[in-house]
Amino acid sequence: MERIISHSPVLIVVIPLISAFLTLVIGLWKKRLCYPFVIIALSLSLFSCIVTLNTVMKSGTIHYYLGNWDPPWGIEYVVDHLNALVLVFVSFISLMVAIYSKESIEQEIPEKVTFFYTVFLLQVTGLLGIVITGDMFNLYVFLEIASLAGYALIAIGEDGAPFASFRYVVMGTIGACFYLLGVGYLYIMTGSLNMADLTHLLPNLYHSKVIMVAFVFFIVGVAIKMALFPLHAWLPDAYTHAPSAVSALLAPLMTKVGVYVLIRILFTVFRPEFPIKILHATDIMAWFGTFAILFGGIMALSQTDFKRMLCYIIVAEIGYMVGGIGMANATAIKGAIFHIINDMFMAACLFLIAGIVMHETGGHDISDFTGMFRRMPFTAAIFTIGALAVIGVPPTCGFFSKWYLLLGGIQARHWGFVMALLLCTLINVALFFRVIDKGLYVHALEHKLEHASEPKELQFHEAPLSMLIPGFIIAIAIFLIGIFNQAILKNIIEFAVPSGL
Amino acid sequence: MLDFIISKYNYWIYIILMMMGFYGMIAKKNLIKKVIGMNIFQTAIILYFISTAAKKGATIPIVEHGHGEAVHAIEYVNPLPHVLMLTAIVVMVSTLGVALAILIMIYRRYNTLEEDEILQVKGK
Amino acid sequence: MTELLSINYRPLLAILCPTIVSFLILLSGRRPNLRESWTIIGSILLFLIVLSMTPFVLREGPIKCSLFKLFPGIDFAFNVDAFGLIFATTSSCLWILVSLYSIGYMRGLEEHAQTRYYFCFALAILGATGIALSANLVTMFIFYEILTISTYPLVAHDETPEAIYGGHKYLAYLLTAGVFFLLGILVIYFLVGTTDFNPHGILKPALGSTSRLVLQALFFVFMLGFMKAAWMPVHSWLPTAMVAPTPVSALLHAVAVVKAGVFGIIRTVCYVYGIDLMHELGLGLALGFLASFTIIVANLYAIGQTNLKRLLAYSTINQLSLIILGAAILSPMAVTGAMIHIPFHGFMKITLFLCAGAIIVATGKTEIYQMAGIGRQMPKTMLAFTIAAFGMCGAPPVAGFISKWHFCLGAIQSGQIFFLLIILVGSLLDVIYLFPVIRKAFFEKIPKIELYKEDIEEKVEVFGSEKLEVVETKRPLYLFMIVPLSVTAIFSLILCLFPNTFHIYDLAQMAIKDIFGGM
Repeated sequence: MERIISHSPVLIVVIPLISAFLTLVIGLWKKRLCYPFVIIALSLSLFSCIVTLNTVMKSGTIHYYLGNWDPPWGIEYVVDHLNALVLVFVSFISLMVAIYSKESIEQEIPEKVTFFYTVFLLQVTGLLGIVITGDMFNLYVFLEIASLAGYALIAIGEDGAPFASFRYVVMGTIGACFYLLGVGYLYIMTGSLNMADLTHLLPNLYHSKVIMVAFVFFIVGVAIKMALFPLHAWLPDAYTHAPSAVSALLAPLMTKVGVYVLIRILFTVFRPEFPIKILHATDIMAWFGTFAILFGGIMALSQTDFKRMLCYIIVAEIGYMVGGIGMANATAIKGAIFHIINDMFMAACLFLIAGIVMHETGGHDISDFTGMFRRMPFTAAIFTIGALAVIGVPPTCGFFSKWYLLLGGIQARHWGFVMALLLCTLINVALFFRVIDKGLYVHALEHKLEHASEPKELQFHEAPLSMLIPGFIIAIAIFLIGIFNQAILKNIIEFAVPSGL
Repeated sequence: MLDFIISKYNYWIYIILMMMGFYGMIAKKNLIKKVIGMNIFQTAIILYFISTAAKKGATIPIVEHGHGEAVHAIEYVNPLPHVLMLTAIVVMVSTLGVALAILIMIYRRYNTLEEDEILQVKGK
Repeated sequence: MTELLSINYRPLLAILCPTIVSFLILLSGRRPNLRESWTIIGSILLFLIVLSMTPFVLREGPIKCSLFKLFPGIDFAFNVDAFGLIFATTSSCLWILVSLYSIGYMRGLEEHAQTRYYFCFALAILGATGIALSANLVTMFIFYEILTISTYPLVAHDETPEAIYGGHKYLAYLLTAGVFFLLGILVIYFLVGTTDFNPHGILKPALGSTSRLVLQALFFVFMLGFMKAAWMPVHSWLPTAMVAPTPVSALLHAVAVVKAGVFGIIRTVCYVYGIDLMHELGLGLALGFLASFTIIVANLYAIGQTNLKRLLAYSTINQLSLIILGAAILSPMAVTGAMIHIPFHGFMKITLFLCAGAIIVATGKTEIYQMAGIGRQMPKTMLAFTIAAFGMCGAPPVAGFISKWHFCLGAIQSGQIFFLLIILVGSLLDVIYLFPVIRKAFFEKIPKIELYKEDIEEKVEVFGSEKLEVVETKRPLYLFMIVPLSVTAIFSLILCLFPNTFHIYDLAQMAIKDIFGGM
């Protein structure tokens, strides 16, 4: 048992990876076994993540050398508080989406279930690997694993998905290649690819132009991956046309892992004084964040398709996080890190609902939500909780991260960011109450028909249990994370804030 | 100035190649040409990495007889970027594969691979 | 288990009661009688819980109950002090009466979506109780948002385009206010590191670190956060929200939403800024002018209204600004008047609205010019209306007299004659628009040709030559409506003669002692 615990960092990545290939084999033998096997694999991975988090909280940062090769010659997995926190929640959300995906996939892409689950597991491998690795080039490899799996998963969606995925392929490749270029530039100046090593080697080189260009390449590459305005253009189409389970997996996770990579590069590889004081990159990021919030909010208002609206909300949420990082003080970064977690849950909840509505009505337009509170009251309740969380109503988790972001903005006297956040709250109200209206106000219409026969659209037909239970768990988690936010903040995020801020 | 350009010729070559690929990806309407551009883009970066590994008068990084003594690193080309680029080439090829598979799906659906025609069909 | 019943957890019980009731209502949606009985039992229980806390608070001081930590320095906590109890008593007592009335109203009109209605009602009372009992600005903010969101389906209940528009306007105003409120809370937390309520105010230390202008601007931000108090010019959500069913308007205009707004303002003035700081920053005068403007203009608007409910809406706006003016005068008598006017006005206004609703259910009439002679058709109802109208104008022996008396004395006490004039002119204007309604109801002849709703009507007293024989088919339902409104009218009389019913006056005195203690 001890040995398993000591190897938990690598198990986190290895289990989904091997399971992906085993799923292919099992699926070709017996299709029905795929789903339980995927659930088991992801549960084991989640268990390893929790064990890792526990170890980190007890004994501090874990350094795991792959193959027992010492760094900087070998690849090293470094798990500190920030890492461990994101890992647990990435694996948790993937597990929830996997549980949810059965009904959805069987309805949307019934002939490709095996391949779907294989690529699904590869995607999760990639995401977990990005978060856990401590080596720059290894991060590129996992980034590409995740991205390629993502391209494939998105392309099997509804009409318009292949084209959207192709656009994502082109833009994503540019992003990853820029990242690779950044790694290359860093390598020729320092000779090292290990993050911890680079932290020591770089301060002497801060004045060098090569390092500055490397930094810029990193930021632009990561910005494409996390859909920061104005490099977000691939996101709305891709996530709208993807199958429901794929949007539910990718939307909460892919972009937030991108934010995590940003934090790593900005504050761990390059020490905080480089982006903040020497390059003033954080000032620029603050403004890009502000514009992302405003742009996302305004574009979301003009959508009639529910999933597309959610995609623009995600663009705005990324603006919150990048703006929070741009404020460059401890409060705002705490808010940004906490918001990574919160946005994972909120986006998962909402895309889950979109998938359930798609499963029940065959479409994901806002008009498909008519009478939702009557037809699917539990789904409607989960949706309301997710909506309130995005709006930022206490005691859901969204309120608490907004509080820290706003407080950080006030501390940094960046009134543009503060105003954008508050304005976006109101825009979110308009967005979600539009949908809630459609779901809620059918009683008068029904009443007029004098209870003669309940119209078919308004009959009670709740979603299947395997789709509802993950939704419930995520909704309850939204509340619990909100109420117990101090526990998470004090014990984990406090230590994750980069020192020197 | 000329000195500056000539001594760093490898960087200039890779930048020009990269920009050609970039131009292809952005400006060309045909999807296959975009993929080709993407390929050139990625190849340029791989070329860059390899070029940083080169040393004057050095030989390939294979030790013939392991004498148990330390190796004179200066005689051998830096193997690390080569190794990294093996991985990157694999990534490039996988990306190419996925992109072509997606193009096949697009062609089956729209019967054309010109971006503007596809957008027209989608607009309707 | 017994620990749960101890006095320290009473505020938690007070919050849990409406929450549990709301879930029980959802579960018993298919059985209306069970559902309604949950509401009645829950409301009586809540009232008893609140009442039980009063003697303790009067003897020993505030009950503190802290649940969990929200942010460093801010807990999700309750602090049951005297002022909060006044509001809590009002809202819980009136919940009982409005629920009884709702049963009559909703079943009488055979309304749709009754489960949703009662569910949102219970949540709204949860919000109001939470606001009354909260210990700091953030807890109050949480319940503020619960109140706004739960009352939205109530406003848009009818689901007609006008109702939905009214609901949207309501939400737009109040959630924007929530954003301003949040901004204000954040700045306060940023300046002094705490948001707890303290009778002497918590912002005094900030005078050293920021300019007076910032604190004055912050107060204005808070005022924008309290758009619930319907001060002009951000008042227009209130008349538009009159599209709601009458019990909802009664709730909005007497109990929960607007009183929460005014409660918040008094909390900010006395417990966040503190009387000293208000004097120093000159905010009392500024607030007073704002309130005076609203009083006069709202009354002028009221004079021109033909729809009875809209007239009552403007009357509410006027009375609320009277409360704000009382707080703005910053003298002990005036603030006492403000605090006791919360329950007094609540009872009187609810009487007026319940009468308006009874008229709608019985005769379907909404405009004043249609109501000629209705006093003879529905004498009990219009008698209650008259009593409450007297109280609005500040005439004895109705409760409004006591609070207006305190306001005037308070204005004289602090030498602000201008505000005294405003109060008196406001009362005069009240008379001008309320008495025509009474006169029309009692002293005009019933026109010969009119259509009445056949099923619910009251026995007509023969007064003059008109005689209308009526069959009363649904007497029990009408009982549900007449009893509550008579009870509130009688209470309005009792509160004048015995202002210390439910210890209201004692509580106000205690709160004033705490606030003005050091002075």
